[in-house]
Amino acid sequence: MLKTFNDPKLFYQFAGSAVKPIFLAAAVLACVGLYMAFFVCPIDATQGNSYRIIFIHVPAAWMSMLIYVLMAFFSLFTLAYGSPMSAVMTRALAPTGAMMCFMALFSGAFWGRPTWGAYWVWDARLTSELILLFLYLGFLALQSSIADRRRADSAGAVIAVVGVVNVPIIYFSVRWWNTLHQGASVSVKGSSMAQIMLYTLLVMVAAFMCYGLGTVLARSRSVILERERRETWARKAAIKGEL
Amino acid sequence: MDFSAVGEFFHMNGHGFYVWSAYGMLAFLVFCEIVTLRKRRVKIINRLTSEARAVRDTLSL
Repeated sequence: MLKTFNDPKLFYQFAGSAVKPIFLAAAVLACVGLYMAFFVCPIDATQGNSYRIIFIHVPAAWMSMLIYVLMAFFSLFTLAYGSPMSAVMTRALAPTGAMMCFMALFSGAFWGRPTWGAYWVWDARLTSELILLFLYLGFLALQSSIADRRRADSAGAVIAVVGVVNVPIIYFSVRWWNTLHQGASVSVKGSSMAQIMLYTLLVMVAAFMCYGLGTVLARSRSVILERERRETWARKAAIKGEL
Repeated sequence: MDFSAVGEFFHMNGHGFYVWSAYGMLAFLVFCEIVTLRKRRVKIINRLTSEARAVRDTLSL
């Protein structure tokens, strides 16, 4: 098992067999989740229909934080052992994380306008999430601007590890400061939402997780090929049409 | 199908612009990400295959 995750060739094959079923699961979950979000969940008594944005806003925000933590986790291995696959995973995670982070901010803005009366406020939660987007963009810019692969890997790993301090700040911002952004509705202890809305949200979270996993695995395959293109296994597979 | 019901669905009691902007952006980004992934894969496979063909004799197939 561990060998699969540390060997580019084995991981390439494993990811190849996993991508399609995972995307299929994401599509099914998204269909169910969207149906529940628009046709099963009733209109909210205080917020009207704008609350339906929660079903993409919360999953996107959770994914943006989860992906960054994963990037930091893999980056530790890159810095400590220089293991090739950890750098591949960090690179594969970053674009999807940046997309989720942007989506959380964008959907939040379009929820804030009808609810708070403003697209943007310099609230602690919003500002720290914006910093997360800059960390993602900084990571991506750094990786693409350094030609030497190993240097790019370690520079990116440093950003990922140092920047992870921002994630607990985002998470706890609604408790540490008086924010316009509301506190957590869903926690381990329970939820302050109506049951059906909570279930819909959880289905959408599962859909986002599958989508994220699918895109990261698919991208990791391209990253592996880009790095291993001079290796015999990759060249043989290319000629046989087995990539 | 009742068209006023469809209209009401998109109108969302006045919140249609906000709801559909958010969902629309998500659909757009998902589409872009999948297209980008596909392009990246095709690009590296084409490059790898042409490079591999050039050194075919050394691969002992």
